[in-house]
Amino acid sequence: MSNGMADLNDLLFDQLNKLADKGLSEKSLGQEINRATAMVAIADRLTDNAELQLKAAHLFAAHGERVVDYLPKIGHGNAGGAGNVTKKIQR
Amino acid sequence: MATQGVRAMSQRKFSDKEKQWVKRNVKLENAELHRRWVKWSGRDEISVAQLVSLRHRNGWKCGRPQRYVKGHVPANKGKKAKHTEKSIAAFFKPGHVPANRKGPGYESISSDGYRQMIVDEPNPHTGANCRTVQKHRWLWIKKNGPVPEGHKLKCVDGDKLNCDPSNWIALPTGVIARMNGSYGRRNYNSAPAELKPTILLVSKLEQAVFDHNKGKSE
Repeated sequence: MSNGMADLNDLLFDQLNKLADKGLSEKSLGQEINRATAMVAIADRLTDNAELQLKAAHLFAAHGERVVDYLPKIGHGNAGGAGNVTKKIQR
Repeated sequence: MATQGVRAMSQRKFSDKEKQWVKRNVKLENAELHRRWVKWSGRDEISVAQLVSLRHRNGWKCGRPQRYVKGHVPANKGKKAKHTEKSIAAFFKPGHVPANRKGPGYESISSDGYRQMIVDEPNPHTGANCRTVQKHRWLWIKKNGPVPEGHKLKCVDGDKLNCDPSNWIALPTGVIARMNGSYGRRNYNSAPAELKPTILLVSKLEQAVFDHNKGKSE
């Protein structure tokens, strides 16, 4: 997550400025609008992802060892991620 | 078979014969009924109310509507209230100020979570000599001038009680709508602080696209 979001912010800001440019030809403007729409959709997914990572970090900070197995990136995938929680409980 | 609550014969106010008389005469007006009752029975210790109560208790209808009929004129219409010296002494005097009157400078929190305060300015709606304003809005306008049309003030850090003008920015209503967490989309208020700037930018970008497309179709 670290620097990724800062770069994303810059990209979004640049795109805003491009759209605000009055001197664009109709064709370029159309292109910029399409690009902006795509960026919005992707940026939404990126923010959701970043939020998940933050939640994982919070979980680890709050509960430590107990949750490490369920957080693949932190816990090296010992439990194969949250999808295996049900299996573990049943066992 | 006697049921619960039946009085002993010696305790009953009206004999069976008396009840039959009342039942027969129940269509009379109350005062007239009582007059005739006293004449017939000699029992003037029975009041009008007691006869009426007997009628109600037994469900005998008198044929008159038991509510005010349209066009009913109050018995005391046009009469002035009689004020005694004692009652006048207890009135609020002109210029009386309620004990819980708050003056300018009083701050409180409104039901929707904004800090509001009373300021020393005439109220344009009621003409009173002071008015209640939202503190964040009041301070922001003092610093930055009126809020541009089509814009609203958005709380940056999520703490609405932080009324410092730097914590509030004027955004177009559309942008605010796009970051308010409806349809499971981005929710600025509940997002972690690290992600708030991104959400704001994405909403602004989406609004810019919308504006351009709207401009084209007009």
